[in-house]
Order: sequence, then structure tokens, then C-alpha cells
Amino acid sequence: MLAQLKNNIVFVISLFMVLAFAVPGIFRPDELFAFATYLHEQILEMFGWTYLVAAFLFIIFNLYLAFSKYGSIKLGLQHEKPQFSYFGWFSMLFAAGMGIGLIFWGVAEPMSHYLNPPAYIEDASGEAARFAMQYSFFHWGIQPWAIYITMSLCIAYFSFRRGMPPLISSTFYPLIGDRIYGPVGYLIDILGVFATIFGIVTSLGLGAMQITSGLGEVFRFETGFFVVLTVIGVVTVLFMISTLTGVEKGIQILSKTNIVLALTLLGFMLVVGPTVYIFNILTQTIADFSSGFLSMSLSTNPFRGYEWTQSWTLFYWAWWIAWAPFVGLFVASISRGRTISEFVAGAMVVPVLLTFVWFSAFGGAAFDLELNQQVDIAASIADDVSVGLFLLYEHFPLTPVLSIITILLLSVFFITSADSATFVLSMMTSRGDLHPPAWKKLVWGLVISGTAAVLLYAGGLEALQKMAITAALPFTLIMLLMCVCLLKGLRYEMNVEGFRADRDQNQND
Amino acid sequence: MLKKALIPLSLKEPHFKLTDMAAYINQFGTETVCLCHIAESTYSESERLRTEESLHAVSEIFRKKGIAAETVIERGEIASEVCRQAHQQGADYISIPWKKKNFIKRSILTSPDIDILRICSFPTLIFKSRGYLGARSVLDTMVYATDCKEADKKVLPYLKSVPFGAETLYFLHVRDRAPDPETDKKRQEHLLQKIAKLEDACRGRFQNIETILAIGSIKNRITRKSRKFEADLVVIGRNEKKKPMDKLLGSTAESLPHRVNCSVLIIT
Repeated sequence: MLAQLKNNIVFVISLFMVLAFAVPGIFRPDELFAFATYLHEQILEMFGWTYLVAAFLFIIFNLYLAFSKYGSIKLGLQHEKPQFSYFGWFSMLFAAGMGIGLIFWGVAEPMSHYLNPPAYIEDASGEAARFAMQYSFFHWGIQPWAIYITMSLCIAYFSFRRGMPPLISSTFYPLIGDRIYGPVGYLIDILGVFATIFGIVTSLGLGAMQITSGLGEVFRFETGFFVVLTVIGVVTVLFMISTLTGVEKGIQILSKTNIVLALTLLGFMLVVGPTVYIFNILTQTIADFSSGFLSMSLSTNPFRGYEWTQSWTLFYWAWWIAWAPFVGLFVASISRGRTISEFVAGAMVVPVLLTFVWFSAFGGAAFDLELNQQVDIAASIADDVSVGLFLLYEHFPLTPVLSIITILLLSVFFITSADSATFVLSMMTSRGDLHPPAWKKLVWGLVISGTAAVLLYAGGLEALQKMAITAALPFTLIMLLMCVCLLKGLRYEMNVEGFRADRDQNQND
Repeated sequence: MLKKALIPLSLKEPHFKLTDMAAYINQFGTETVCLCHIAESTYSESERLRTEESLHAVSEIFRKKGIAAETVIERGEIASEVCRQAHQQGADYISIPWKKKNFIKRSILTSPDIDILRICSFPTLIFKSRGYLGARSVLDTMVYATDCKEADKKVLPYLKSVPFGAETLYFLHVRDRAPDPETDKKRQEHLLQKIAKLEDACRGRFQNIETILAIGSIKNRITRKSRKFEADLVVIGRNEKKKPMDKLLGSTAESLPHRVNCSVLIIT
């Protein structure tokens, strides 16, 4: 009994803690919100700059690994080949890393920045539009992926190359040794579970609201809590089916479907939308993004516009870091057999470029309506960001078809995220077992959906999002230490083991 | 080996310290010392006479311990001149009567001793007098900080042939932890095998030989372990500085004298 409890200690404590935070969210949402807001504001006020510096360091770290002698090290044994094709891999990368958020913010973020830029830029001006696109690229560009890649690289290296369980705590072996099997290791993993659950519950709640808004727009009906609940129920059943079929089948099929649907929408917008205008915006914003990258990466704006940086850039960075355990673990699990260089280059270039094109297409189309055709779309979108994309479609042919495809895309992204999160949570709470028991997947699936539904009803969802961001602070430190551990591991492999085939040889013997 | 020592002197060294040093190196079988004073500037005839007298007084200390003493007075940059003299005089090693350096002196102002350590590719003994409280006439405990690599080839002949006379020899290897437990275990076994060979080579010369494997920062671990074992001498081999960080911050062998509280023998 005691041994069983010890085996499931991360599971039990995490479950208990989720309930401990969810219950006040149901019964005392206002107090929880006030508490979470206070924590969140204090953290961003005091430690906001650390997020900027850490995210920038992760980029340098990844580039160093990719271009150094360590770049040729494989995330797996030397003879192993990548488990998934490039298309499957990119699809899953994109779905897990950005997916639903990109649909949500693809139009809404440029419009929000356009209408509400920092105080030193005149709102609704040409400069504000340029700033809006530049910062949309920045918030969804290289830094988020650098954060994910760092986490994934560490986990993949220690799991697939060094034969340790795919847990965040495993990566700390070079630093703390066997203590990873004790309270310190449990604490690291519990923090990972914590951030993942809070992140996914929030995302699920917001995603369900957006799907409901979309359905309401298309079928012209009044959306209420019952509809949201139905959406959550249907999606839960679907993602449970997907997750129980296993990662190789379920997530891959759904992710490929996703990317095909997303590319269809993107292609439509590029062809039917203001094509030249979109490409002009893409080219201009790539230039602005490239020339201002260093400045944007390290600008805390202490003299002007600090509030804006806090509520957008720092919020995003904290959010990506909070998401990192989930995305990192998932991306690691699909990247076995790739070299470090291949992994960094693939994950840092392809999804980022796709994101840039996405923002240019949808943001650009919205700007065309706002600036060239004098359609007052920005204000309407800023009023309710969840309907941004659907409002844009109203100005294009085949509106119902586009809306339905988008709802389908949202649902599939939703299912993929929940599916991956359930798998990752079960794996993290099963000592890194890559085939966690079905009952654990079921429990986590129900906990995620149940908490999202209940908090949507009670109004504690935003508080939970802020709690997820709170968890990002210790995780920043954990991730920086993970970089040290990975470097130690790689250096050991290169300098002591003499890198390579002989290691595989030994393992095979 | 270690038959002839070159001892650079500023002539400000207290005589009790030099007496301790004479007794200490006597145990190594040192037969001759070359007492070397390097003046950085020109000085008058009277100053030269005073220097010669001082060196003569120091020579007597060594002669009383049965060690022949020669004297050399030269002018020039101290560290370079000491190295040149060590070659010229056919010394087997340089023995430095160490004076504790504070942080500022170590990092900014430097000192001839530090420069000698940095530029000289000669075996060097950093002698630290234990003073009256810690005085021990015989060398009792030695720690050899082995890297289980090239440095062993340089150090082993000394361990096998120099009559250190210590009762206990600790083979201390400090390493990084391997990236995973299985490799770590294999690595540990491999290192123990390597050190067992060293033990076999030294058996008979020391009453007790023990092996210690430690994980962590090399400099910190050697310092802590040598204190824990109350070592009288830490022996370490020095390799060429290849890494840029080593060139910038100095090697383990260069930093150890500042950290440990016993004498250090650096074999190059």
C-alpha cells in the first residue's frame, strides 16, 4: 500500500492541489481572483525583466547547441531514425505549441495593438498598425519556440539518449544526482503538473467559449452556459477517444487534419484576400521584426510604456514558460531520433514562418478592411476578441463555410491540446511511463474538463490563468538550471565518453 | 627526483618558516638547495653586501639540516628569472615559501609567487608552514588529486621514487556526475579500476592507501577533502591549459595553493 502510494505520490499530491485551488475558484471566485491578481501583478512588477532575459538566453542557448559540436548529437541512440515524418512532426509541433491561440489571436492581437498601443504611440495611426504587426510577430515568434525547444531538448536528451524516464526531474540528474528520486524531484514534477493543468484548463475554457461564439455567429443563436457545457462535453468525449488510442495514432491524425484545415484557410485568405497587401505587410514586418529583434527582446521600457510591456510581452513570456512543461514534454516525445541541430532548426524556423504568414494574412486582411475600405472592424474585434476571425469572414465570400472550417479547426486544435495534455499529465504522474495506465488518462481528462466547466460557470477561469503565470516564475529558474544540466550532460558525453557509436555499442552489449 | 631545489627568496621570509621548510624538504631526499634572490631594480654595493649576508644566514639554516646550499643573486623580472635560473642551475623543482595572498592581491595586484606558478613549467612545491600550533615534524598524510588521465603519467614516477615518508596516501578523484545513473555507476567502476592500478604501483611505499571518489567542483572538493583528512601535502599534476576559461581563470593547480591549508606539490 505504502509502496503504491510512493509510486503515485506525484499523482496524489497534484490531484489534491488542483482540487485545493479549484474549490475556492468555485465557491469564492472573487477572493481567488483578487489573490491571483495580486500575485500575478507582484511577480510581473518585480520579476518581469527576468522573463525577458531568460527568454533571450534560451534563444542563445539553442543556437549555441545547434551550431556547436553538440549539434550532431542525436536525441536517441545513434542508429535511431525519427519516429514521425517531417509533415507529421511539424503538424504536431504546431498544434501543440501554438494551435488554438493562433486562431484566437490571429486577427484580434494586431487589432488590439492597433487600437491600444503603448502611450508613446498614437492609437489607430499608421505607426500603431506597423507596431501592431511587429509585436504580433514578436509575441508569437522566436521566443515562445526557444522556450519550448529548451524544455524539449533537455527532456528528449535525458530520456531518449540517456535512458531516463521522460520527466522534468530526470534532467536534473547531473546536478542533484539520486535526489531526483526524492522530495526535490517530486517538487519539480508537481510544479510541472501544476502549470500544465492550470494552463490547459484555462485554454480549454477560453477555447470552448470561442467555439460557442463561432457557432452562435454561424447559426445565429443565443449562446449561454448550457451551450458551452455541451461543447466541453462533446470535446471531452472526442479527446478521450483520441488519447486512449495512443499518441502515434490519435494525435498524429488529428494534427495532420489540423494543419490541412489551417493551410486551407490560410490559402483562401492569401488568394481571395488582399494578396499584394498581405505580402507587403509580411515583407515590411519581417524587416521591422529583424531590425528591432534585439531591442524588442530586451526592452522592459522602464521610462515609457512599461504597463503595456507588462500586460502584453511579459504576460506572454510568462504564459509560454507556464506552457513549457506540457509542450516541452509532448514535443520531446515526438522528436526522438532527430539530431539537436535538426530539432532546433526545424522547431525554430518552420512554425515561426508559418506563424508570420498567418498573422500577415489574417491581420493584414483586417487592416485592409480597416484602413483601405473604411470598415470599422478593429473596434468590434477589440470589444470581443473571441469573435475576431468570424467578424473578418463576414467581409469575404463563403462566410458560413469559412466559419465552419474555423470551428472545426478550433475543435480539432482543442482536442489535440487536451489529448496531448492528458497524455503528458498521465505520463508525468506515472514516473515517466510512456504508456501510462488508461485510468489515469481518464481521471486527468475528467479533471481538466470538469474544472474548466465548473470554473466557467463560477467565473474563476481568469484567476486560474493568473495562477498558471505565477507558476511560471519558479519554472523560469528550473528551466535555466535545466540548461546547465543539459550542457553538463553533453559536455560529459563529448569529453568523457568520447561521443558516439561506442556508447551505442555499449548499450547494445 | 627532487634532489635539487631552487628556492626563490625575497629575504623577508621569517627564519622559522625556512627552518620548517628545510625539515620538510629534507624528507623528500632533497640534497641541495639553490637560494635565489632576484632584485627588480639596481642597488648599491652596500645593499648587495647586505643581501649576500642575508642569503648566507639562510644557507646556514639548510646546512644545519644536512642540505647543501648555494646562493644566486640576479636582477630582472622575478618570475621569468626564477624559471631561467631553475633551468640554468639544473634544479629538479622550485620550492616556494608561501605567503598567504588576499583576494585583491590574487586577482588584481598579483605577486611573484603567483607569476612563477603561472609561467613556470617546473615541478613546484608550495610550502606552507603549519606554524607552532600545527607543527608536525614528519609528513603523515598525503592526498594525490588524480585526474585519472595524462597527469598520472607525470606524477606516478614521483610517488614511486620520492621518499615522502607519509603513512597514508589518499587517491582523490573529483569528477562530474554522469548524465544518467547507469553511466554514472559504470564510470565509477571504471575509475576505481584505474585507481586500483595506481594503488598497486604505490603499494609498499605507504602503509595505508585509500581511494576517494567525489563529485562536484574540483577545486572545492580537493580543498574540503584535504582539510577533512588533515593532509600535510596535496600532490597534483598539471596539464597544458587548453580551454579559454582555464587560460583566463587559471588552472586547478594554480588556484589550489590559495585554497588548501597544507603544502602543495605541483608536478608538470
